[in-house]
Amino acid sequence: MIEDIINMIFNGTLNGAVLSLIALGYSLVYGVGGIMNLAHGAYFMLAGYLLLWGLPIFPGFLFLSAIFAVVIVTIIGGLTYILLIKPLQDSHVGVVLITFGLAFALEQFALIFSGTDSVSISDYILFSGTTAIFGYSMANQFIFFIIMSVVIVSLFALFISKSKLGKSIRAVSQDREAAVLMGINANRVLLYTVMISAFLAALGASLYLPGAALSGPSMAWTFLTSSFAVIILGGMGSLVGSVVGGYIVGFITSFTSIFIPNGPSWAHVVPLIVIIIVLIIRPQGLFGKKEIK
Amino acid sequence: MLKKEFQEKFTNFPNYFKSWIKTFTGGLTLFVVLSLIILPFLSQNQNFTHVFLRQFTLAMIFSIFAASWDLLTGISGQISFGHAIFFGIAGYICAYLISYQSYPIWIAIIIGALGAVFFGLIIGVPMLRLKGPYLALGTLAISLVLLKMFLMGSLSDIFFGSEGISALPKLSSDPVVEYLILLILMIISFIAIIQISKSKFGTVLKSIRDDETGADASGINTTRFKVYAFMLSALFAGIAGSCYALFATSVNPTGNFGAVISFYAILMASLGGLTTIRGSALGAFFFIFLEYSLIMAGVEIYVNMIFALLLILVVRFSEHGILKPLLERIKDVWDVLLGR
Amino acid sequence: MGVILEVKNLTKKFGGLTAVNDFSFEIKRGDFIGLIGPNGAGKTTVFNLISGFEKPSSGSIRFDGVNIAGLRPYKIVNKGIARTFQLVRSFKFLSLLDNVSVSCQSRRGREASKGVGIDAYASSILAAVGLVDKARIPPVILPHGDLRKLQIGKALGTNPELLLLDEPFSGLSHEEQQNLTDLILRLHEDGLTIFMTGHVLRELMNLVPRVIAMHQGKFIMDGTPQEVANNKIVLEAYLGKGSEEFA
Repeated sequence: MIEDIINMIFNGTLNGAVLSLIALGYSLVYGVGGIMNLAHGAYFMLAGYLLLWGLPIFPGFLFLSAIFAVVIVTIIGGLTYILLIKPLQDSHVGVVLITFGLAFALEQFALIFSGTDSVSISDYILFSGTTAIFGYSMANQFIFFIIMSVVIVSLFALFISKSKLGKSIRAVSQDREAAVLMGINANRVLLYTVMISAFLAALGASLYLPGAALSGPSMAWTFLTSSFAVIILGGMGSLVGSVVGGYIVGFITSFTSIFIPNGPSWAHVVPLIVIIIVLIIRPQGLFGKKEIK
Repeated sequence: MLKKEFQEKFTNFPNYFKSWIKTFTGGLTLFVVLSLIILPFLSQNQNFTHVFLRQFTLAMIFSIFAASWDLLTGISGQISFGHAIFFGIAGYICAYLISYQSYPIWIAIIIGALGAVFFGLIIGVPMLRLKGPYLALGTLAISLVLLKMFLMGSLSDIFFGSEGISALPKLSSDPVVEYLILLILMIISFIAIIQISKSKFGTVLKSIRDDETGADASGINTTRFKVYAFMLSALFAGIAGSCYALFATSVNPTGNFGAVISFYAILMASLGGLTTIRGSALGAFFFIFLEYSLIMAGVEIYVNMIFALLLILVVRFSEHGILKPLLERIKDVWDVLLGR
Repeated sequence: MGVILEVKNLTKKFGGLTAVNDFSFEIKRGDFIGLIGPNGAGKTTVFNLISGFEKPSSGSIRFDGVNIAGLRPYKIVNKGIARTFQLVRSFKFLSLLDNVSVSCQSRRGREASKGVGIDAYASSILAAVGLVDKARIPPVILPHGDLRKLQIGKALGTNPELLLLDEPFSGLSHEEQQNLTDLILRLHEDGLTIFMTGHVLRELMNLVPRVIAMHQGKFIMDGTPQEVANNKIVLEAYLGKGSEEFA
């Protein structure tokens, strides 16, 4: 029983660490530009596959492969904005359709080169082996990841509140027109925002997936759905909400997996149930504002 | 009042029909329909009837599906990324009733479609609090969850697991009859959907699409109308889904609930132009034949990626789809020929 | 001639900002009233509260004796209140006739159009606002003055008893203003109760027999245009402190 609880706590924290990183970028782009980038989950997935494909290119220099993956995905994020999102910024339906198309294209791209099977990228595990805490052994890679996730989120929080770009981003998210009047190039801010969100997703993938393995290109959709549940719970456009929401959803999922009969099957449904319950009880989520259109 | 409108339409029909034929779209539509009617009788060749003609039949099934999506998204402005839900549910219900309960085919199809309508209602009510991209993602999330439920885990055993149900009968053992049945279904569905979009009810749906707050301010209970749109759309998607189950003679989770199916609806309707219903048929036919050609050319593995890129291009460069500009060119030529 | 709208202690807070503060007034059937106040005084918020686009933080709004505070907009429309918007909105891709026929499909609109049919009823409304010759055209190409008339037409389609007009004259040329004024006067003569906002005083003051003035969310006074124009607080609100000398 104790072991189950520790298992749940650990897995919950792990899930939370992943989800909060992914949802953070997703929420950022929405909060700043009102853009729902449906390709966000695909960025995460693609980073994982790039990591795998980078293996033969950088033999022995695993670090370079991770940089390769992160850089490419960040660039793709930038291109997404310039080529696809910006031209369609007046049409909500258009942005949704085109980012959906991109997500599909990226998924198919990965499918063509790697097939649907699970692949492990264990060559990347930086910290192999396990550590026993309270009698439960946890993979060191995951412990490393959780720590890194917290570090990254904290650095991001610092960035957003102290740096010049961070302040510009906040200004644009609060009132775009006012920001423009103050001389901020809103267009460039949005570009950087999308790139940062892709960067966060790719970074998260590089640190997490080596331990977790790639479950197939369709994980792009799984992570997209989960991030969606997280930002609905956390509140649309709230960065704090994405982090808090990420951990809450993470814990609910691990709780379901372990303590509910047929747990792992029901764990898939958790994001959806979260979405429905939040919508019925408190549509603005924990930290969000009521949407006024 | 409704009766009066109906009576007026009925008596005016012959004149209305004549003037409709004379318009470009009217004439073209009639030409296409007549061609489709004649097509199956052009050759007795087995390859023709069993392979080539069946591609048309498939295209007609997807035309109905694409048109149902267009009704919800292009006309009512509610973006659905989970249309596979209705398609799959109807297919499964239909398959189950025929295989396990020995229902006659047509009853099973109808109940399958009604099952989809019911889902339209229960999904619509919570989901319609979401707008725009949120609704899109919400519907996508539901379709993915349904897929998972049917595919993996112990729940899926109740739902026939990853193999689904197979050995279903076809609509008819003669592909020509199958084709004609679907042709009739397609024509009826399209007339119905087009009439809905042109009716007063359709005007309200369009007003919700254009300015939901404004519609609210005009005294319209937007939630109720949105739910109606969901249910109507689900009905036609369900008809398509049931027919597809019988066309493919089997149902399985990925084939009927996969996100690709939702994607196909979006792509087909977008190709033909989001706001034109008939465009969905064009998009569907274009899609099916492009897919067929690509498979024949041996590049099957690239098919979906090509379609994804196609969607990106279409959405990026033309809100009217690629076929409409093409049609406009043809129309210009037509006008010139007629000396206008 | 009873009271049609009774607003008591209406308050609306947005976070730390109090947009409407303990606001109370009454409108009787058949009245024609202007609501004035400088920009940011809270006029549109009052309209939003009455028409259901905002929920009050406290206070009550009674229409024909029934409490309507917090109801959804379409329900309030179907009780008999219709409004126009400061920033003109229309169904861009529908014809003018269709724009109005949507309103005619509200519950009240349906009842009103029962004998003649929706299209005929909508046509007659377009005729009343002077737009019937443009019935088949979509709003995108219309001049601003026509769009304002369209908004009124859409509101009329719901067969309202009380019409709220939010800054109907802004952005109009002199001729368009005159046109619109004639229309509004005609509607009032036909029995419609009209409640109108504006912040340019001259056109309003010559039009309405009674004015309610507000500033920073608070009620200042209720009287004839003459009385309001001479009121010290009103003048201060518009022109700043020390301006009583200019009265």
